[in-house]
Amino acid sequence: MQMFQYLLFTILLELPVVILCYHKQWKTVLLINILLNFFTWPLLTLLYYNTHIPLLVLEGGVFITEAFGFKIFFGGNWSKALLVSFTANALSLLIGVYISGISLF
Amino acid sequence: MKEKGLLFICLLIISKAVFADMPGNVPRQDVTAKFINISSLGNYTLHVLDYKSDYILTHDTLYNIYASRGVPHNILVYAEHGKSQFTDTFFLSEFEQSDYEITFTGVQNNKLQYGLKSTALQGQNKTDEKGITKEVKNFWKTNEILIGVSLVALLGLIVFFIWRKKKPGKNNIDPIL
Repeated sequence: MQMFQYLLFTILLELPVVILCYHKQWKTVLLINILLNFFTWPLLTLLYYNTHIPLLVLEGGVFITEAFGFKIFFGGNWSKALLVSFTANALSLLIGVYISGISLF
Repeated sequence: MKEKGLLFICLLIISKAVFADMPGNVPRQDVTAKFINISSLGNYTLHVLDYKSDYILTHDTLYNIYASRGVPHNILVYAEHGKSQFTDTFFLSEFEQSDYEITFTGVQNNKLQYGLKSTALQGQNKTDEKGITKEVKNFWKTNEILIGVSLVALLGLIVFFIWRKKKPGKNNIDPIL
């Protein structure tokens, strides 16, 4: 259960970025971003600890999945969804790597 | 013909029930053999024969005898001097499910002098009746939780998506809340 604290940190880091970019529908953003993180984070953790796929590749998958989710649920154009997803995930990834000292590759 | 078939099935079931011809066919744990004070053997070289591999131990070693699921995994231990003089041999097996500590004191009349201490495994990675270790159980428990959480979240996203589709004019929950 202790590992779920990292999920909480991820949500706390990513949520402000996404809310800031889609502030007009912040309540939807709150719900969807939490659900998206609850969907992607366990899969990322599962694959990271049980396979040899590099973290950067796994994060790439998360970034695309979340961008897809943003586009479906918040509308707007693809470039905005991709940019927001990239910014939010890059932020949480870099801070996560810095805190835990794990390798990106 | 039917009787023969029935007899064969009965024999098969009985054989299975009594574990006939299944030597130690129960998953076991790895054990360790700690060889201490090898230098006391003097000019003799200590050998560990593990299946076809012959290892020479020159200093104190912690040797892992990995567990077998079937025929017990044994290692043979002996010493030699100048390719012509060999000591007696003793063997260690993982079948006993004990860690060993062998303290050598020397060689006398081509016989290895040693003290053997065995400690029964504490069951830190004990298997259950189905042969699944605690470690494996925990591994699957964690993974099951992760997959479960992920699936529930995905279900939530799908439900929200369908709900939104059924409410024309509302592309998000903001107007409702």
